Amino acid sequence: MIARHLPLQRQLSLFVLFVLLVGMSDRCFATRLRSLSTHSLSPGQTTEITLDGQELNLPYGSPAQLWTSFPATWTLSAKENNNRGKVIYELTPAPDAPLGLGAIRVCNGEGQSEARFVWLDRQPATPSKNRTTLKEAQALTLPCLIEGTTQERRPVYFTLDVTAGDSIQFDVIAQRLSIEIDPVLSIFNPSGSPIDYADDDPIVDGDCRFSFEALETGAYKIAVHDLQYRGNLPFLLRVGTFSLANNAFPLGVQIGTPINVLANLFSHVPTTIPVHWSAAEKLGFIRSDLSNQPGTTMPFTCPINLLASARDQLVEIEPNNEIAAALPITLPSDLNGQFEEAGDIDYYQFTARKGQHVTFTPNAKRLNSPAFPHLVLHRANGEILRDEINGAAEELMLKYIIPADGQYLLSVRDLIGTAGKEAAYHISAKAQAAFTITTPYDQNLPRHRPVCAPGGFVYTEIDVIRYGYDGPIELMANGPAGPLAVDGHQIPARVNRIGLRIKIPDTFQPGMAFDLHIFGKATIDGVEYTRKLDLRNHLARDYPGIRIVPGGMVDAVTAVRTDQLFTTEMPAKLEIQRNSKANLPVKVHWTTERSLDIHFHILGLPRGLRMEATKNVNRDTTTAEFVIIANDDAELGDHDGAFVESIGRLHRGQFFREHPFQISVIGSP
Amino acid sequence: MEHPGKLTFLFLVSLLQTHSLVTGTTPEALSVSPTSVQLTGSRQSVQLIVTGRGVNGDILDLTHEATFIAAEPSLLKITPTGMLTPLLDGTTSIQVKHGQLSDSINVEISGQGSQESVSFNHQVLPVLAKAGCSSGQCHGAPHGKAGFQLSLFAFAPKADRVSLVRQSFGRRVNPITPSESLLLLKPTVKISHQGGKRLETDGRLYQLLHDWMSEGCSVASHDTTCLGIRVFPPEDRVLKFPHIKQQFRVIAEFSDGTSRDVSHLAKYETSDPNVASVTPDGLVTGLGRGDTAVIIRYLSHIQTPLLTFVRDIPGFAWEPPPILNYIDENVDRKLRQLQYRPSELCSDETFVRRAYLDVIGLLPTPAEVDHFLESDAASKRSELVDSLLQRPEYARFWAQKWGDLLRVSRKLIGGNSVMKYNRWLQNAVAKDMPYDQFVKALLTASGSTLTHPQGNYYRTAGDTNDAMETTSQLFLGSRIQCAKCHNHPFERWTQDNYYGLASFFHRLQRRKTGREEEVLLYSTSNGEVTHPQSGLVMQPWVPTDGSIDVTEHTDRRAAFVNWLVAPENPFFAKVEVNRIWAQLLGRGIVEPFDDFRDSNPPANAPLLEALANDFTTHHFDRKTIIRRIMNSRIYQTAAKTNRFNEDDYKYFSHYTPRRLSAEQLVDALGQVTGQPKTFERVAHGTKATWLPAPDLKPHRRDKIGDIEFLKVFGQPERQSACSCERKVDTSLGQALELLNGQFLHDMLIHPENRFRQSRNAGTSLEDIISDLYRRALCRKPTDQELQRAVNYVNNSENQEGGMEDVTWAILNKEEFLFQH
Repeated sequence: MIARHLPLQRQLSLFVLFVLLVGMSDRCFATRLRSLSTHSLSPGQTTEITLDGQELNLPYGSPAQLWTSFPATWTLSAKENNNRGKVIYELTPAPDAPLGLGAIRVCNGEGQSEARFVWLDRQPATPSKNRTTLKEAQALTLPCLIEGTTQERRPVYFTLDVTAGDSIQFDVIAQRLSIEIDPVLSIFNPSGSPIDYADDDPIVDGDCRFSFEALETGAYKIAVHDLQYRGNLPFLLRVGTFSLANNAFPLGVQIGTPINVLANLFSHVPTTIPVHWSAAEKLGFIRSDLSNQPGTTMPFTCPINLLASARDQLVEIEPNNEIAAALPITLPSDLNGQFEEAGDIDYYQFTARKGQHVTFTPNAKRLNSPAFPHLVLHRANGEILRDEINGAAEELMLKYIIPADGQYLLSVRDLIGTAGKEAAYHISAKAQAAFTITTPYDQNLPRHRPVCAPGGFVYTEIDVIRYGYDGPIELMANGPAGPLAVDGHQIPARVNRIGLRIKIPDTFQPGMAFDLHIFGKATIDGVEYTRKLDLRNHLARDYPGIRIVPGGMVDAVTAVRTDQLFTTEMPAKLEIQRNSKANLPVKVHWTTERSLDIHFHILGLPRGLRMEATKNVNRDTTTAEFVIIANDDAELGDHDGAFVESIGRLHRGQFFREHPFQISVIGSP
Repeated sequence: MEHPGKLTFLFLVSLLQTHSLVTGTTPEALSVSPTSVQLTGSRQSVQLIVTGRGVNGDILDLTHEATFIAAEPSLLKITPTGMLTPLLDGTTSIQVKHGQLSDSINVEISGQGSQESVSFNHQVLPVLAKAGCSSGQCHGAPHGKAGFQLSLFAFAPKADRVSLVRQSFGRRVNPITPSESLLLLKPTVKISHQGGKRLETDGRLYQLLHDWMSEGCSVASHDTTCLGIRVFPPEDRVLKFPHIKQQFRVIAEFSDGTSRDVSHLAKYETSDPNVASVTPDGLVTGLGRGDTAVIIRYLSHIQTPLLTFVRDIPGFAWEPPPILNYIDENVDRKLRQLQYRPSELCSDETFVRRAYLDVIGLLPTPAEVDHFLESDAASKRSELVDSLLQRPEYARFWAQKWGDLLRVSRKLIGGNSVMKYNRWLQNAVAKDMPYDQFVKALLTASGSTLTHPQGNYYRTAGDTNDAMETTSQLFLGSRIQCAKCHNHPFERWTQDNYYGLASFFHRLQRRKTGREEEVLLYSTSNGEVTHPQSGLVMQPWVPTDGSIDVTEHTDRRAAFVNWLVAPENPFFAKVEVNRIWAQLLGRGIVEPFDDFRDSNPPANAPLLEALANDFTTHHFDRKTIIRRIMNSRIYQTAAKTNRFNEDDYKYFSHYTPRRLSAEQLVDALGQVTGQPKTFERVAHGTKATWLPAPDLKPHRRDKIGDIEFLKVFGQPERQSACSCERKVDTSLGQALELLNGQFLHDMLIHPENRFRQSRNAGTSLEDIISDLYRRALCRKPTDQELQRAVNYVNNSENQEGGMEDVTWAILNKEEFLFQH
């Protein structure tokens, strides 16, 4: 393979060029999923769901398949109106499907769509009647979950009979489904006067929630509209006399240990609810449904986010507001604290050795806490060593190399003065060099959902973020059936980016999605350290409003093998003289009826050889000819090269297939 | 309401206590100030003030009417205006005579044997300020004039000396022949001077500059510092025609404990040139009835004594009008003093229109007018005010007023933020959020600006200085911007004060997040404001308390807000009640209503004080003040004047008509024609008076030439926190829009407008015209108006065209276009 013959930097630059070329094409016929007819599903119940998009149901090749982040069965509807732009499925989430947010994708022989999100709820949805006047407001029977659509320049009105003293909760779910809407909810008293409204919420960001206690008996009205009064935007509205949980305390839980968490219930006093965790639970960010726990009677799905860890969870003990009262901890530790009152500051004290790389990773907003933990590292006497004030806004890690053996302090306070039981934080404190791996973000090249051609491979770049560890890192990939062969698997010391090729076996059927788990492994201070690929930043950008994406999307690349689409034929060997040019003819055999642009490129040319230009070939063309130029310093002898083909902007992804060939350089006549 | 008898008594008592009042014409006693004089230098002088006391204890200034006779005339020189200058050492007395009255003072003169040197800091610089050389329009401008730059009002003496002595190759001064120096040739116009003649060659000011140069342009190395000035008379005075003159004396206090008469060096202005004028020597002469502050400045020190001029108006007799609340008492007290007779109460038709427009921004419907007119209840006006204040339109309309001040615009904060901020404002108004809490929420906002939309305050005021200046203007009523670069020219604000206030806002951080339009606001525990000239760290400072201590790790803004909203803060409540007053009566008690300063005194200080007390006592409830004002007789007076108040423009003896605001006019036109204007990006049915921002409509290149009706009528762009951005004047463009503009034309010709619909429904012409009057003017047409309109329509070629014309004519009446 060419990678053996080329310096890494050169491979890298060539690949960057290649990616740029891919990105420049305007032609696009990718599978796209624009909208869902419903955003609410109930476990165990079959729902007809219409998917609207582009190239959803191909007239030939591999049929469209549904990929869901939750266990589900589906059938393509027998209705005749299925077409490229619209397909109808009968979708049944498993009775034990995790409640809360779920994702759906469409896959076929041309790739896969972006994800769209649904809300799995115990309460079945009722469609909105889109009433746009107070007089005609749609009557609600509580509890209810309304599946609605905004109306242009007009609110959608609902009415509900309320008895004085009733406490009613409203919850609009929209941005949490990655829908581009900024919902606003208004409430009117029985005489029709507006009495309050809800907009963005510190816990659910752009969505709105509202807890309301009726002062009088009568028919109250509520109205939902988009902030900019845009129409045709879906939303879910949950109304009832129930409690919505914001978060739980502690925010971290230890796997395998049944615990009681103090659920901070929206509009209610915190309530202790037992949450049981089994050893089988995964590590990292998890979502739990409080309504599913023993002793709770909530009619709705009530998801909370938690951070599962193998470690014991340390809970701060007040008072620790002074340096002298700092809570002693050992590293590593998982710290759980609360800003009980405005200005609360928590001190932790630990011992560290010179040269240790200490890291403190805060989590709050991701776990539905309104807090912004601001971390400061001090010497034992209080002198500030590192102030990560800006990191608090984004929950960035505080990193520091310990300058001398001794005692150190970590102080935590809230950046904006948030206080209360809900203002909780979790800090993962460690004292070892480390690294994480991710892929570079490119809006036009979503690396978290690549496609690969038959006979090709998944290609991705891997970025390393190093925290004090500069050594080599071994990369591995697991497919559905176990480890996969990878090329470029070794990240050299002090290198932070590398191209990784994962060979996909021919047994993988076109149109079927499969998850690829990529790992980086290194031995640091004698301890083997493994990190999964982390796609959190990609997903946060692609799906704003979603704090924890479902179904392991954070650490798995979901790939799809495409249909053949086309094949190419070319000589296996090319001979060229120094100081001359040679032509490399390529024939294209089309197997798709679509009009595509194909980009051809040659990688791995030895020193002194170069390609005159890359070639773009469209559906009307069946041949292409490359000109290769040999300088007078071209290295004599046989060299391996790779002829690479791709399709322009296929699913905004990569279609990457290469044909090895040999090139012989001979001397001047 | 309090007992009327008690109120009348209090009124009379307070009338007597208000000021030292001049009513008599013949003084019974005479006194001279100062009672004795010591002159210890050859350049000193003293301005004598002669005060007469009438039979009732009334006071009048006789300085320019008295005669001055020195026992030893050779020792001193005394002018007819009472300015005393020494000639020789010695002791003498001066007898001051006015008619049969006389008084005498002793004068002790020393130090005349040697020439006292001229002080650069305390004499030369004041001369340049008094002559106008260092004013903002001349060489005190930021870049000077004609290459010659002085600091504004001698703010930077060192730089001024360099500019005078060193720059331009030293040509500005001439120690050998001072009279040939540019410093004297220019202001005496002996050579060309763009600023005109500023000095007389035989004047004292000229002589001081001349002598300073002849003495070598020296600056005393250890000069004393001027700590402040005192003026005489020190108290506010009321002067009654014909005794309408008042001479002032100014004494400067120095750091070495000495004081000195600087009357001849001080600069004098009046705040209202219609009321009084003042000479360069400090003699004020009344021109009309009313109050004026006399602005007396020496170096950077200012005093602003208040003079009130009253006059007996032939035929005037005070006829006590009904007193509905303390507002009427306070205003009447002033009116009686100035002899303005208040106008009658307005009619119910006028009141209902006025109240609707003021509280909800809209015209009442005919049904609402009828409902009000048909009521016989004595309290129906106050009941109407109460009911209007409960309507949702009230919150929307008044939120728009706040939107103007808080610069809520798409350009500054983005479309989503505009909607959220506006909704927050509406909610605050609708829920009667107490004003102190409202301001606290704005000023101490932290966290996400999407979750806490009031945090957009710090997006429109995007840096430390802007935040401080905006806060100062909105909540302290002080336009402090000038003090950024130099001490404030018209106020007591210094540059130190400016940066001391700024330090409260300096630690606020604004950080963009990944979400569109979201900014995270938070305070850090470090970061200081430094003085741009001295480089010194400025401590947090507030006007009443000076430097205040702020605890470590505390958001300094909280310390500022605690001071700001405290009931004892003399500015906070007054600024807001004055703003509400201006919004209801068209003119502030202090006008402009966001420009509080000593040199811009309130038209009725006791009234402002009483309103502020009421506001504070009622927990900063804005509705209380709105009710109080609207339930007063003053608010309910007619716009029609009588012969005793036709020249009153600021004491509220009559209602001042004002043009409908741009938004009110658009809504009113829509209400009358039945063709309301629709707006983009807001809910269907949104009125112009509810618009969250003036720039929601996206800019379109193809519409650049499209004149927007709202803009023509003064809708502000909201680019500054100044109330002046909203134009309330009238213009030719407005006239053209109303006479033949597309906006009104489209409403008139619309096939489904109100009169066409009525006509199609078979309504009689008389009823259509009557309905038109009721909608536009809240009254029925007179018989003559109705007959003329009917005749016009009937005589038109087609009746629809005739109706268009009649409607057009009514909509162009001042009675429609103005709130009256």
